[in-house]
Amino acid sequence: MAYLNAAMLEHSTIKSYVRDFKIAEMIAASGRILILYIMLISILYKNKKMMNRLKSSLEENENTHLIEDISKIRDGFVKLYELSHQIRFLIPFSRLLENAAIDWDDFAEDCVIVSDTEIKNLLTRVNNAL
Amino acid sequence: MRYKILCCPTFKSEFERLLDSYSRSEKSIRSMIFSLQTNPNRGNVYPGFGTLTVRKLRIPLPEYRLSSSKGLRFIFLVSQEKNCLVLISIYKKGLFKKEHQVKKHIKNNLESILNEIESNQCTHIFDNC
Repeated sequence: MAYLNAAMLEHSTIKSYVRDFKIAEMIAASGRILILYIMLISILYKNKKMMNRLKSSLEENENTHLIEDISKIRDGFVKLYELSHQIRFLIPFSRLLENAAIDWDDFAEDCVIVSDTEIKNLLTRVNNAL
Repeated sequence: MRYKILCCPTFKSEFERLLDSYSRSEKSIRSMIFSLQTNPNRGNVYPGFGTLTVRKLRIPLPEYRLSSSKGLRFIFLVSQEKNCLVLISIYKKGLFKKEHQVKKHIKNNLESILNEIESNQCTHIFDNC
């Protein structure tokens, strides 16, 4: 039961992080720069922590929902990076957003590879054939 | 302890294709791969492969002003029990537009590598690659 509660809490934290990207996009569209700055700082501050959490969750159990969430976070960073070229106040964030988008893209690739049972089997067979 | 580096024709041809575009970085890429003989724990471990250790190393290309995040992705299998590294794939970040294309590429490479190991087409020295 405690494990289930922890998993639900984890899932809601990830969902809330995914939601932050939508909110940031809406704030960017409304032109409220100060709130957008705060939002972006919050997103970038949580970035590594969130990735480490997801990595440890993936090590414990394979979860297709997690893979979807990882792709959504990656897409969120890509959109914010694109926005940083359209809104001049976001230029200071451009490099940070680009690096985060690349990190999450790598992570999304890793997750898709790890979740494939055929790749796992092939790796085991290669290891045994050595 | 020195690890043997197993280089198969599949990896060799992929590496040669890559060098067509980034020939100025050949020396630095080779030395990076050679350094794995003594230090195979470089790069990030793929989470979730259990007892198998598969690593992904980001290689910068300073000759082309590409940082490690925009540089190459080098994937290899570390077999500690057999004291051996198997070179699986090396590609430029951004070559594959979607993660499913990377998955397909890795799967194809592994299938070819398995066939090549079974038919003794691989060499244990990366220098011959």
